[in-house]
Amino acid sequence: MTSVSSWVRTVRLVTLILSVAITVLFTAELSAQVGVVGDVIRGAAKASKANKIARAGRIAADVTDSGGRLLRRLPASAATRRAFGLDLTVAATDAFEAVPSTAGRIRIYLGDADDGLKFVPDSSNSPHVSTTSPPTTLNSYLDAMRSSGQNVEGVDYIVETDVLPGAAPRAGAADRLFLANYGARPWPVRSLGDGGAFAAEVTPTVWLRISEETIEDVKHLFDLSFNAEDVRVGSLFDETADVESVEALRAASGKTAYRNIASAEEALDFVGERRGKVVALVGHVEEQQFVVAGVTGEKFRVAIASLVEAAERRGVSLLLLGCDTSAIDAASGVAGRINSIAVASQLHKALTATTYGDFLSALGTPVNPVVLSRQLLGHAQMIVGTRLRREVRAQRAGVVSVQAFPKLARLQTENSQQIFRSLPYWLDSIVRVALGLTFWAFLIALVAAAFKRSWSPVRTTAVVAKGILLTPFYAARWIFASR
Amino acid sequence: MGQTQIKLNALIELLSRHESHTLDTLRRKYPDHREILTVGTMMGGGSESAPPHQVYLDVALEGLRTAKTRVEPNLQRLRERLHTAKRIRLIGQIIGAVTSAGLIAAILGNWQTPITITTALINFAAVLCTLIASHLETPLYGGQGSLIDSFETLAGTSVEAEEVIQTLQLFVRTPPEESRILEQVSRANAIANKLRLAERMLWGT
Repeated sequence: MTSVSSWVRTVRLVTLILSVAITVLFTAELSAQVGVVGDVIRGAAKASKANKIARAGRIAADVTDSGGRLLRRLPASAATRRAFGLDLTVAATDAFEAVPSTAGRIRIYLGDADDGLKFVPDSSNSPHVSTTSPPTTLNSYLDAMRSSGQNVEGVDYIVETDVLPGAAPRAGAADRLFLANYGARPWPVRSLGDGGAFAAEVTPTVWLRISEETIEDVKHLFDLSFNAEDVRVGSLFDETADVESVEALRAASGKTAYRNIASAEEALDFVGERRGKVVALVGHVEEQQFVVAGVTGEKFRVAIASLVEAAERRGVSLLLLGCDTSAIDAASGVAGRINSIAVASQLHKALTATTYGDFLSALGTPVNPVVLSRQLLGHAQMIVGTRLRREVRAQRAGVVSVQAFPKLARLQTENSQQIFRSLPYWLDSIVRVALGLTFWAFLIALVAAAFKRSWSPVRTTAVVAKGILLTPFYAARWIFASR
Repeated sequence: MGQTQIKLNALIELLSRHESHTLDTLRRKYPDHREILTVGTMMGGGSESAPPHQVYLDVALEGLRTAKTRVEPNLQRLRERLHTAKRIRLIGQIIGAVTSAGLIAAILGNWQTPITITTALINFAAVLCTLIASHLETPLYGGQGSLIDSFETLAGTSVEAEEVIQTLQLFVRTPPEESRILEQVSRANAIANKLRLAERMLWGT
């Protein structure tokens, strides 16, 4: 009899613990559900504001003296400088401080002001030029410098993005161009060939095709976390004729999705197959087409323009790994001539990266840098966002975590995390589904009550929910009563 | 439409795998054309300076010579393997024939259980021998057909390589028009490719 009563006590205790656990989980899930609704409402309200802030740009840094007095504000972009009405000299001073030693070369900052292109010479050059009547045009300034005996053959121009197309043609062979980088070292500017396009050297192995408002984007991209799952690798080689290339790329891809593409249609399908991915295509490129050659001659070719179009339709970022693909405006590519085995080796290293900065830096080399386009910059944030949301969902299905319950107090959340970390997956899922259904049932009941002007739907739902929640108590009572 | 550059990748890979010093010599001889003397495929149109035909001829001749030297060891390995397979198959078939008759007799004649089981086990081993022989007669690393087909491919490769070598040697002495040289070099690359695929299929190397 004694052993039976101790068994009953144990069952009672277990039932009690289970009930408490379910109640805590219910509270947590309810908080999460309320949090989701709140986030949606607040998110919608904040969206336009955030958009405005993003468009207006940001301040990169406030420079203060030892007493905390604001000396100057450094803009994060040319748009910011104009939006805040900051003087061009502030940005110029910052750029002159950040630019590497120029060994006596003249340095001139070029930016856009309301009344046209403005230049700011480095103050260390000024002693050569009259300060009482300073030259008002760049040419007159250079003439004044020349007449004072200064060598003006090699000038370092630090330019803002929007004035680059106008400034680049006036740079001579001995001159150097840098892109103003607002609060950091200016990036050297390179020509991308005959098309008049320019790229900024972000790192020795990653260049950025220069267009408006891309500097902040590329800095952000470099910090984004990278996962090899973000990428799908496709190779365009004949399995028989280029067996070593196919095998090397397959091995380099590791666990990343890889396919060797056998027709033009398959190439288009592969690019658009999964929304929101970075698709790296490796193959032989001629005249803006991927050309696949077999043992006895050409097998098929596919126009890169159609691949870009398919990628745009599906929110995919294209990374074209073929010779001189940097010349293609709409996608990111590689400058110079590259070998398939070398690309496989670089890809293998790049896929182990933890940030997009590391990924892209490993993919290029100083001789064959990766040239980024707006297309990759635009999609990468969305790709990472999609992946992170998926990871959070997976996490929510498995364990109780801080992210799953944003509205719980930190201490409370951490406690529940400690207690339920090892909750079995199936139990966690069942409890979550049940509690989620209860919550939404109450919400629907409330709406129905509002329409019917009666509390009866809520009362009925409460009775059902009570029945579900108290099932363990009823079960325990029935077990004990039957004894 | 730009002309796709002639492929040398199979010849280069063959040299890199089996005669790396010859490839190094070629690279030293033609330092301006290292691109086409590198394993893998250059993923773009023609390089700034098109290689002279002598580069193609040298690569093709050296590659084909290497291919010829690779055929005999491959054939030798294949012969040994087919020989083993045939022997195992014969042993299995003889044992199978004897024990299957014995097994029927054991079952119908109500022999003692241990004898029946032993006979059945020997018969099973004979079936296994046949399976092993079948395995040995098929390519180890995928592909269609039997080892006998591979044997014929390898033997044919040797003959074909010799024929192209003769033609290319003639071209070295009296160079013909460009298209004929490129045609023969392409043929040489295709031969090297055939050999390399056969090696991968047979031995996974």
